[in-house]
Formats: sequence, structure tokens, C-alpha cells
Amino acid sequence: MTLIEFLSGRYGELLLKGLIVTLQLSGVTLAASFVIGVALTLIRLSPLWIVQQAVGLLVDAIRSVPLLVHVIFWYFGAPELLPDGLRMWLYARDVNFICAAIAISIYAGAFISEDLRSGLRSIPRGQSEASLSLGFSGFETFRYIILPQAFRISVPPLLGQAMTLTKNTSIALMIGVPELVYQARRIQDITYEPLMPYASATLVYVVICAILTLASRAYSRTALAHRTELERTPNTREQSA
Amino acid sequence: MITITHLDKHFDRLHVLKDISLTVKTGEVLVLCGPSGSGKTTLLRTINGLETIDSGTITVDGETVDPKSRDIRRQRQGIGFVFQQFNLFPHLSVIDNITLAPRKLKGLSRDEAEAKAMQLLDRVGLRDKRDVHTDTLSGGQQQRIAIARALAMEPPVLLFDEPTSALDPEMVGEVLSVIRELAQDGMTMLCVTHEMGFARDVASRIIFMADGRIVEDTNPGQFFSAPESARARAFLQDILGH
Repeated sequence: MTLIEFLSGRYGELLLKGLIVTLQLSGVTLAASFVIGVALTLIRLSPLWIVQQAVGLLVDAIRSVPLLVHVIFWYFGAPELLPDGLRMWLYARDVNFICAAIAISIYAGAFISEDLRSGLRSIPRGQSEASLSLGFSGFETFRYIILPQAFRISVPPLLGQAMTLTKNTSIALMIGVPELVYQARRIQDITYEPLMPYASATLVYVVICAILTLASRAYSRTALAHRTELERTPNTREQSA
Repeated sequence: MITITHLDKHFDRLHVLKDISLTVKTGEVLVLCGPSGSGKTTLLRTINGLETIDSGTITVDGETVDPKSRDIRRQRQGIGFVFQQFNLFPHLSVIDNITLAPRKLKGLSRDEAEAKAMQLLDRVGLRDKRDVHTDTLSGGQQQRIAIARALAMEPPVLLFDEPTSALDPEMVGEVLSVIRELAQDGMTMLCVTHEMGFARDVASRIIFMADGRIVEDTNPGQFFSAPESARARAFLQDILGH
């Protein structure tokens, strides 16, 4: 059986369903984790020492716990802490998907906030001094001068995080979310043949990652072309499952 | 126009400015010089509140400068600052570097701000660079844009912190000639510089600092021909002697 034959049949359909779930989960978590990452970064800019430290500690704690543990906590642990009404509401919906999305979003959000923070810190102090000396307020300086530059610098590492996040969604199979690898495993259980389903799933991840890598390279070539090598590559922290 | 009285400032234990008093009248051009570490840059930065002070007062146009007050933002609009490292905004084009502050802070429309920016670009001789990215420019060009950016807010006073120290030697002249023209137009300016030829030509007063104090406050003729203090003589010998 060739790959084409395999994919055009009923198994191809299963894998396609899995791919759709993977893309949905990736899309939802990407958006949510970006919001979480930005929020954490902004809170961390607070002038209050205690707030900075608390958020820093939280981010470090989230990053140092394996993603699988996050997923298990949000699926088995967290719902038990909810009031009955809310728990019933949650169980009436796609609880597996929701819990996986929450876990991955929080996990990736912590990494994204670190990327954004190192982007912010890479802006030289002369930039804010120049802005203040023109009469801009601290907030205006952040809004017009610091943030746009930090964001540009952060785009390549953020695309890297998007790639890692997409791959990390596969861990949702542990709590029964029917995403791509889940379907591949299911096909293997039926056919006792691992090569075709897993090869197909692998191919899909490779294509997604290749697209994101190309996007990142294209961005670096154009938008950052005039920046120095040093500024172009802020340290990227890879999230791993 | 600017009055500084009994100004003191420490960086931790280091006493960088000691009992500085200085008055600058409208239209004067002051050149601050002295050995490195003498406090000239720090003094300049206190005038627009980029540095806090421990004691003493600074007033510009009769108003006290206090970096912690809300008024500082409005006051800074009236005190242009030109940095050693230019500090142009790399995410903006040349024209946007110049128009950002007038548009956002003075409420000028884009057309008004750009029309004025083009006059300033003419003045610094860089009309053809309006749309380029700032880091494709040479150091001398960047500094001329930085001067145009400061002028765009129409400040009555301009402060220059070693405006040519980060430049290759062949670019020093183009920046100094822009500053020279501003002086001829009657702009009130304070300039920290090691360019003694420029100081001699342009300055109405020379402020010589050493160890956080003003050691001499005199006219350039006097300063270059017959400096009073031994410190100033040694400084001039070092800087001109080779």
C-alpha cells in the first residue's frame, strides 16, 4: 500500500480529522498564549518590586514543570477545585479540549513572556532617553518607541514558539483529545501497522514547521535586514514537552 | 534663561557635581569642557531632568526643573537635547523621527509636521534622505538628523552632549557647521565638547570643569590665551599640545 492509497481511504479521513483538531488547538492556544505572554510581560514592568518578583517566580515555576504535568493538572486536578455549577458547565462541553488548551496556553504564555521581555531589555537606554528628552511621557515612550522595536526583535523567537507550540499540542492525546497523533495511534491500533499513520503525521508536522521557519527567515531578511547581527538573534528559549 | 544654584549630585558615594552655580542668558553659547569625569555631561543632563539632583535648584525660564514633577514633560519640550550616540529611532524613517514629537505632543497634522521637517532637513543639508532608514546613514548624517529632530519641537534652548565624539574625524566638520549656524542664528546653547577650535569660534563663554566643580567661567579669548587655573593650563596643553 502506498502512502497515497493509505491517505485516500478511510484512514486519510481520520488523519484529516486529527489535523483539524491539531490546527484548532494550535490556533486557540497560540492566540491565548500570546495574550497571556503580553499580560505577564506588562505586569512584570510594574514599578513594584514585589510584583516583579512574584510574576518572575510564577513564570519560572510554569516553565520548569513539564507540559505533561500541566495537562494532567488542568484535566484531573483543576476541575475538582471548581464550584459544582461551573464543573457541570465544563463537563457538558468538550472538557478534554478546553483543559488541554488552558494547560498549553499557560505553559507557552510563560515562554512567550520571556521572549518579549528579552526583546524589551535589548532596547538601549538611549532610546528612552531620546524620547523623554523630546517631552514624551514614560507611557508614550513605551508605546511609540520601546514596544514597536521590542516587538520587531521578538517576532523570530515568537515564530519559533509557534512552531514548538504546534508540536506540543500532540501531548493533548494523553487526555483523549483526538488530534493528529491520537488518530495516528488509533489507526495503528486497528491495522497493527505503525509506519503509514505515523509517517503521515510526521509529514504534517514537518510541513507546518517548514512554513513557520520560512516565515521567520523571510522576516529576518527583510524587516531586520538593517539591524546588526547581535540584535537580530535575541536568546530564544525552547519550550519542550 | 537658565539659572543653576548650589547644585550637588552624587552617584552613590561619588560626588560628581559640587556646589555648581551657573547662569545662562538668552542667546548665549556656552561650551563646557574639562577632563573626562569632571561632571560636564552629568551637569548637562540635570538641566532637562535626565539626571536627578541631590540639592540645589535649576530653573529654566523661571520654572524649577524637577524630574519627578508632571511639568517635566512640558519643560523638556522646550529644552532640545542632542546625544553623543545620536539615539535616532531605528524603527522609524528619517522624516518620522523628526515629525513624531511635533505630531504627538504639539498636535500638528502630518502635513504640517512634514512641511516643517523638510525645512529642517534643508537646514541640515539632508533633504534627499527624508524616507530612508536611519541606520543606512553615516554617523555625521545621523547626528544632523538628531539635531533636526530636536529642533522640530522649536525649543528655546539646545543642549549638546559631546555631539561629535562618536564620529569619524571626517564627519566632525559637517556636524559642527550645523551647530555653528544655529549659534549665528542666536540659539541659546550649551555644548559639551572637546573641539577646541569650534569652542574658540562659537562660544560666548567657556565653562571649564574639573572634579565636579566649575573651575573657570570666562570668555574664549581669555581662556585660550591666558587660563587662570593650573588645571585649565594642563588641560589645554594635553588637548592642544600634540
